[in-house]
Amino acid sequence: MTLYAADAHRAHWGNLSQTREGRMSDLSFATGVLLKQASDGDQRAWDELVNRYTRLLWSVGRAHRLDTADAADAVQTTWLRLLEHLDRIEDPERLVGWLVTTMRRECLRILRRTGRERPHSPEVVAFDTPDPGEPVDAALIRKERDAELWAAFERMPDRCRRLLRVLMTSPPPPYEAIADLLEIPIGSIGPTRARCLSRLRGMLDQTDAMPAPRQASEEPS
Amino acid sequence: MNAIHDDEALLERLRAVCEEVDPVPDLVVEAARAALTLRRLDAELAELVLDSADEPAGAIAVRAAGLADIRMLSFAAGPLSVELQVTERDGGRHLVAHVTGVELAAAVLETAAGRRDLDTDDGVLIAEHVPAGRVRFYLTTVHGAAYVTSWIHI
Repeated sequence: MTLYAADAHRAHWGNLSQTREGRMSDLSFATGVLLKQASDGDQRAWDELVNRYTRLLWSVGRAHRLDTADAADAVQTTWLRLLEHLDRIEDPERLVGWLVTTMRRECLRILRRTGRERPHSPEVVAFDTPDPGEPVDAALIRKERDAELWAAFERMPDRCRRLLRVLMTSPPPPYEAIADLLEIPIGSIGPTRARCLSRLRGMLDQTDAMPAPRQASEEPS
Repeated sequence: MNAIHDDEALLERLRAVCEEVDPVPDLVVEAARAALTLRRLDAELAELVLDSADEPAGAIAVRAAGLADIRMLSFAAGPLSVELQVTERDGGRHLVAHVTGVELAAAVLETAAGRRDLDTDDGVLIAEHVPAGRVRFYLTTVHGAAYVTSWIHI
């Protein structure tokens, strides 16, 4: 690729990645172009696909409570699967759904292998206990309120945690992909999202209402 | 108070915190980018069509037969069929593959660590002491066709 072509390429994708709403057809056309170029061995096009969707795949892994090594493994397997099927993705608009579904399958395989899956008892305590392998380093969170928010999020029921975790991806995946991932109807995503956020807000209010232990001892009532 | 606005604000906060506590490791992105070079453009993909590890019922049947630690997988593409048995032994993996439908000229086991040439006696491929991880077979036939099995994790 010549320097000029590379610049034009960058400007083109730069503009597209700034497009948040409305131009879905442009975006999916662009995805189709990227798939075609990557299929022809264009490293830059492949990098762009990786840049766009790795964060989403990572969030799916975390939504399944995979630790860093397992999440990394599942993400890599998903990209390798895409490479295996690069010539066979007929509808670029379905790429995100395809990636999410493939990632989810890899997550379930890993969970099965490690014997950690409890698909029919999402409320069991083990699921609500943060995985010791998760690199959520509280020291990294400077603001106490952020730490509280994250702790509350981690305590949420699995259904809420999964949904919110993928919604944290920027930009969030299409609802079709979320519906596939969570095995719920598209129509229930909005209400579930509202319910989960409301529940999280309630958990935070509760935390706020309870004085921290140190403050309690300093200010006996 | 506007509930919808609140939801957006809360989600935005979560997004910011998530970005801080759980960023995608650079190595994950780098590995994904590098994966493009692992493509086998010359070979037809032999898809994984069966994996006993994915099928609880099948696994139970195998266990009942006293073969608890054997995992069986099948790959197929056109006339090619690969039946693979994976056994865990001494921390490594013991692989036996039966290749039918084509006459093999060469077989290579590809792992994250590298490549291993395998003997192709009567379509039986054996690889011992394979480290746990991702593997695939690259097979070439006496007629010049090439196949690659879908990546699996053993």
